[in-house]
Amino acid sequence: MRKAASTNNEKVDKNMLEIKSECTDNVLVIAPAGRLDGITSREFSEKIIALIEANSPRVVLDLAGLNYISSEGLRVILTAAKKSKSGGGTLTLCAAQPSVHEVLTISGFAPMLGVHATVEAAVSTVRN
Amino acid sequence: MSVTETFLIANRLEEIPLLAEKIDTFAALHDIEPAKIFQVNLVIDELLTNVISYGYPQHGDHQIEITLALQEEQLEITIVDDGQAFNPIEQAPEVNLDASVEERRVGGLGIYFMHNMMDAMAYRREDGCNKLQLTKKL
Repeated sequence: MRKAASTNNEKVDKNMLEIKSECTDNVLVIAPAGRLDGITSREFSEKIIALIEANSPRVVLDLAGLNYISSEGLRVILTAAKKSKSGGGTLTLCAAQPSVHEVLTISGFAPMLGVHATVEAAVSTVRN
Repeated sequence: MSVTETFLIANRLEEIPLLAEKIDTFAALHDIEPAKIFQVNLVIDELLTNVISYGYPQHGDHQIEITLALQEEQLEITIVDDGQAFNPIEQAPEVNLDASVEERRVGGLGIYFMHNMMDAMAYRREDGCNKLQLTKKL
């Protein structure tokens, strides 16, 4: 059973980004849900860097709840991947929705970081 | 059959997701495939983000006009702004898709998406405005 580190009981505005995270056995799983664009990327950037610093450089981004990503969102993912790498870890992706997956493929992020079908598969990759 | 709808937005980034919702509604009303409209919204977002962020060095309030014209097999998107002259089609996207995490940069991806996801592009500077016309086959 996965436990969210932060909960938000308010209705999530679909133009906003909700960020949940948990760290288990030194693997940090972060699940951004909603829109990752020029507006939400700044807050996401601050949170993801702080989470990596406070928890672990072994990071899985669970994209199941992400319904939109622009180049501004990709910029944050790249910054986080560099942070993870410099800390001796790896950042990988999983469970992307088809349209988001296509953006990851066209941008070259899918081959660069890996997009796994499930959180479990992604977790086992960053653990090894 | 041809359906045209024009949207006016202020030069603020917050307007972009609101416009995307309206474009989604337009698409649903006219049975445009969600995967296609996702790409249309992404390219519009990238272009408007450029215009709003860099097109108005003097700041101030401006309006940007976005027109969707649905024809039988394609959607034509026209973006008109009165910002600094800028032809995004001329910008060669400098994207290194094979770079490692350490070497990779994100600059230029928005323009790259436009070249990759749109089927035709035309730009002209007219009456002090940038007029960009994009075609997406449906």
